[in-house]
Amino acid sequence: MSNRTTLYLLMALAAAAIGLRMWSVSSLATWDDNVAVHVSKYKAIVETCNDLELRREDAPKGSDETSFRKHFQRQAHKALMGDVNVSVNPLAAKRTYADKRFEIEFLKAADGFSRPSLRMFLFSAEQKYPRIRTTALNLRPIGGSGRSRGIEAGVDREDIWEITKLEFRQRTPVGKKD
Amino acid sequence: MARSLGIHLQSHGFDFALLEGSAKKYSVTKSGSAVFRSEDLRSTKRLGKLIADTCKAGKVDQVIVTLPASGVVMRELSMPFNDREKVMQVLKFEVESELYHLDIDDVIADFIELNDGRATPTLLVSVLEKERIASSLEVLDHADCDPPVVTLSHGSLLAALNELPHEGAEGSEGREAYLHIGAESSLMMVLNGDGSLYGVRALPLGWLELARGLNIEDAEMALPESSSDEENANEDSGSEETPADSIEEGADAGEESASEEDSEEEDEDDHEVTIGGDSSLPFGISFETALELADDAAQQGFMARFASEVRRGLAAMGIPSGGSLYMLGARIPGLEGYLEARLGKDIAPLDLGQVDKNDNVPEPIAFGAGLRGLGVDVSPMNFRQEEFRYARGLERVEGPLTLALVGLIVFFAIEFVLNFKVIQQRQADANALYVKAHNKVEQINKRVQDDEEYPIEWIVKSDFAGMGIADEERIIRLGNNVRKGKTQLDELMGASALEMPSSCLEAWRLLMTFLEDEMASFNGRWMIESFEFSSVEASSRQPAHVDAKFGITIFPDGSGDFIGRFDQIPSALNRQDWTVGEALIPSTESVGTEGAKSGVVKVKILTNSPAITPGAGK
Repeated sequence: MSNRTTLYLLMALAAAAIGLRMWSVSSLATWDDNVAVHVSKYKAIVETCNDLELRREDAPKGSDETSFRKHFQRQAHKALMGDVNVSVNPLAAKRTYADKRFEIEFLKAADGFSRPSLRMFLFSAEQKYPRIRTTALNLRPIGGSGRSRGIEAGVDREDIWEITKLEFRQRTPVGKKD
Repeated sequence: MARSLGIHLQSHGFDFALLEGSAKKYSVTKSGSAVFRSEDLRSTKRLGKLIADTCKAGKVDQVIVTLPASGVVMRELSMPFNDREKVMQVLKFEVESELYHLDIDDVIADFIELNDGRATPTLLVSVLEKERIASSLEVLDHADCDPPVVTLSHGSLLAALNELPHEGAEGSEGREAYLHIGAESSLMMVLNGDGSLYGVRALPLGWLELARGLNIEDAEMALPESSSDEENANEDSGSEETPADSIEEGADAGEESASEEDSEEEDEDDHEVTIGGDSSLPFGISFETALELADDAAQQGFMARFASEVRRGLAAMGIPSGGSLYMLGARIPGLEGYLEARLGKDIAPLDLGQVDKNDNVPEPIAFGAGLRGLGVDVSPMNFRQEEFRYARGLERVEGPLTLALVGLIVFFAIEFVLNFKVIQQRQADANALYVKAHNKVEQINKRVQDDEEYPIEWIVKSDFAGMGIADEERIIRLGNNVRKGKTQLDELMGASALEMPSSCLEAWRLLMTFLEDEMASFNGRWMIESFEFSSVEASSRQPAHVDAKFGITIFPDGSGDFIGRFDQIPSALNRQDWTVGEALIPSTESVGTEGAKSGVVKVKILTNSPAITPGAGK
């Protein structure tokens, strides 16, 4: 191989080496960026997954009557208020929304409930299901005998209350599926 | 317009011709010659300076150097092919057996093809000693001249003769013999009618033979026969020049170094000139001086010897008597008539028809060399081969360039390898992060799959196999899918921009907080008898609110004073931000035996006020 040929070969090799070097530098920069993206994305994914994991636990798993009943029943059990009957009544849709009304009847209503239990139940029932509000709540005290009827005002009694009426309403924007 | 300088460098002097133009149209700008003194040959520097001083050619594009054919081994070889490239590959091998007195490694061979009518090509191979080439190039280097071509006198003479019209037929008919008389040797050349070369003979006799034995060595150096005027030279020196192409700079440099020359200091770069030739011939003698000094006997003796050499040469080439013999070069008075009588040929001086600007006739061989520089490539002979190969710009820096390139390649290769390793590590890191993120997603997906309550839509898509997604893009897709899952849950749980019903729970909280604050300053007993909350939708007359109605019984304190509490409660309620309209107590009634009074309070509570956050407390 002549000197000239060797020189040309070296020039070609040098050009190739420069090309490879430029590629490697560019590729390295790309992969540095990629790793940075991976780190930020990894953090975001893990945080979001943790958030999903927690929120899904309490989130409604469906939009049928069974799902609603399960929700109210679960909250009643957590508040130590026993079983409930839930009647679901869809209301006439308005222009922008449609409501569902839930009438709650406690099987142990006659025994009455403490105010903390009541608050816990109502709070959980509103917070752990989307777009639900308490729309009717009537309470009256229960006397020492456990009977509320005919109790006189001003008579000392325990802080136990009977729920005479309890309604929730869920409001859903028109066109939105729960 | 190209400028070509042809130099015919001999042992006792040199001739030059400067041509301008192209191969088809040119003119001789300048020509001349000079003779060497014996001391000139002791120093290549001095000789180079002499050449540069004499030529003063200014910027030239090509310099072609011709060395005399005398002393050169010339052999005719028959070869089955005449392709120059192929012939050059085997030439030294073919001619080696003819060079019993020379080492093949000490010579360079080249050839010119003869047209002698044979079936196979006949090559006239010339073998030139490397020492002569090296010495000639060294001399010219000191004249700041690096000729790309070093050829022999018969090649240049052939180029010059080819400028003559040749209209004869190929073959023996129309062959013409030419005789060039040089200083120390002469050259006889026979051309076919078509101008192709039939044969060449170098005769070891030149006009310097006239002065042999006259003991006039180192006579006053003859002035150049011709040179351009100084103005012309000065004009040339003003032009842009490159050192390699300019021999005028050599002249200037020579002038500057005149004092050094006088001091005769030893210089490592300086050597004795060994360009061949017959050193027994006197130096420093011009043709005119030789003619003047030679007596009749010497001239007759020279002519007799010369005629014999010519006859032998013609016979060796098979040229019959008769016909013409054209003479070029030095014209020795009486020689033409003598040859005509001795050889039986018509002897005629030949004029090539060329003169320079000063009406000087250029020396034919130098003129032929100059023609080659313009592109007349009748003889392709070039003895700049092997270690003398002409190196152009790139070749000069081949060594350093090669070294630099190797260094560059090694550096970049190492950097590439290091970068590649780091890239691989980055890829591994990125892949590990993706795998961990993927596993996390799979973990929440597994929960969805395992729990029947969980809707299957909650599974986050995490398998990208077969989708043609680049590895580095997977985590972005996975992130997008997880974000979709979050958005899905947000939409499920969120209230959006929709106005929600007023919350009775929130109204209860507000009311109880109010009562506890309001009754904190009251020392007596009080109790709630009942609550009734009912959410009311917004209408044109009032915003969405909760109608609250609660029964309250207030007992007197120790002083029996509680009068006014039933008036304070409504007025305090009316001062609350969340109260809509007027709070009322329609009536009160006495209850029990302790003087307590009971009443029902009616108030409308705004729970969707910006200041009120539904469900903010229990």
